[in-house]
Amino acid sequence: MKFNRCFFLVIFSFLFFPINSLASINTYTRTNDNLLVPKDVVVDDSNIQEILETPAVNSLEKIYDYADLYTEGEEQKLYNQVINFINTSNIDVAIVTTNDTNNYLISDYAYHFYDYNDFKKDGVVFVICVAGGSPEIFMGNIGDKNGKVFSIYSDDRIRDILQYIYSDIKESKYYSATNTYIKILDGFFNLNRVGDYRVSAGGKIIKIIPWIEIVILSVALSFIFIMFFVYRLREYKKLSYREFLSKRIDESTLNVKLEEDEFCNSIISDKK
Amino acid sequence: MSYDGDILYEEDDEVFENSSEVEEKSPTSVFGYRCNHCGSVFYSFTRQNINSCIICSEQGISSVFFNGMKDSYLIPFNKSIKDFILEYRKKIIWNPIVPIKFKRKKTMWSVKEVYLSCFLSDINQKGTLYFVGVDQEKNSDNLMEKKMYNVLESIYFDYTNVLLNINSKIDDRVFQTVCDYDFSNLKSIDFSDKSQFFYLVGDMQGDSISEKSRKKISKQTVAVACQNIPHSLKKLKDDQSVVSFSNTKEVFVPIYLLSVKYKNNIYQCIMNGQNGKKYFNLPIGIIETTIFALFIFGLVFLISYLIAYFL
Repeated sequence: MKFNRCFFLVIFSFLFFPINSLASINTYTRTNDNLLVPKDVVVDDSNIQEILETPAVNSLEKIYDYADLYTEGEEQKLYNQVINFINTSNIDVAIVTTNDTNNYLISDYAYHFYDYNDFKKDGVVFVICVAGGSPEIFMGNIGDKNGKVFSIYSDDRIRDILQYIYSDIKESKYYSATNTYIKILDGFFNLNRVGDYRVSAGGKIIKIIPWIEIVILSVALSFIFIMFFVYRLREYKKLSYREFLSKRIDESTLNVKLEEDEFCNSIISDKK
Repeated sequence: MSYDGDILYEEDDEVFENSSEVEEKSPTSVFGYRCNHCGSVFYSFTRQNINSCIICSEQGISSVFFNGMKDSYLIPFNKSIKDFILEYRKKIIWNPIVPIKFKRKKTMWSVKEVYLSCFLSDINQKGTLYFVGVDQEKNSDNLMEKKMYNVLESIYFDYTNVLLNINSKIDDRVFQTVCDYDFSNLKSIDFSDKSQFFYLVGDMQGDSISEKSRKKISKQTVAVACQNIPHSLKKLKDDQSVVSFSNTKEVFVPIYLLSVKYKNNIYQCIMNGQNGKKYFNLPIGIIETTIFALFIFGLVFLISYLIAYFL
């Protein structure tokens, strides 16, 4: 009787409470007949093998934790964050953890994952690979080269982001690293797109200020201003007595006569 | 009470009481002051309540008896004290590196209307000047040849209305800069004039005045005469000229004089009282300049920072 009641409760909970779909990743099987790639992907001999070796996933899941680095709760939180970000930015996000990149470089794996699944045209992909010794991370940007993804997530900024979160990855704080990653993504998106920004030691996005140039400019302008006022103070020219006397000469009576101009001797030397 | 020019005491009101007795006895009522610090002597035809010297602005003024200014002339003031203040304010008010002491109203209004004693004369220099003239050129052997010539010039120079500052406390070059006076309306000194002018008398003796003039005149004459010598180098060898003075008279020329003591130096701002020509000798304040530099630095820094931050 007791067993029946428990069994009933389990069945009831499965039926009436939502099942967290993120707990497991729905990976579909690609076949030569059904490659499960978006329509715009051109399939030929050069990429068919890559396609077959790339997991086919539901692009709505966003968090693909193959390496099982997050708890279910963490996955849910990350998912919510990502969805919020996508809704505000219209930039798609794929976060993949894996311990096997099928012998591809992590960057190739990341781009294949994004390109051969049905993600939006503009997006970013983040991969954590924990195979082997030290973990590897990669962030790729996808979209028009002149589009917003490339302007917001430039190579320098991507390097900054990865550098910053890698300290958490090294200490196996994968959730913290991913959480920060999404926050920084959001932070960069909310900034004005022009200007130079970097990720601070505290994980905040701060604008790069050209301090040296500012100091040089300030010193130079201060100097110029002071020189200007010094000049204003010293603009009076003292008159020499000769200048004064030259005005006093009576030109009408002035007489200077060359009476004699006689050659007397000469000196010859080889010096000037 | 003696009349030998001995110093009386400024603090002692009796001195001035007594000087009124002098006034009665003397043909004119002239009040004399001497600075205990720089020794400048100046007079006024009205009694003035002054505490500091008009030249060195040091405290400590004694009274002296009038020593006489006979046969003296003056050029009347054409400019008012307000003209000076206006020019002075224009000069300093927007200049942030001028020490604050110079901007105080008290300082500004301490300007004095002064008749400065000068010697005015016509000077003639005539005679012969001997020069050595040198031309140098390369000869056919590519050696440098200096050809030397004996040059003799006869000169005749008339300088009219040469004004010579005979007060060593007034910087000569500053005075020369402003002393472009028109001597056409010279007037005899009116001792009954009760205006508040100061008469600053000279402290140079007759011989040194003529020697000073002679040197300066000769220098100018030689410079002009040199222009007439057709050689590239010329050097005065002998001066056989005579400098003579005529129509010499003591003239009091009007100046506005503001003397300010700042960091052990005296800074004089002078304006010609006849035509308004001016020379303001003003110092650069170290503290004011530092504050101004820091202010500009801070302002530019802040603006640059904001531009860099928001753009």
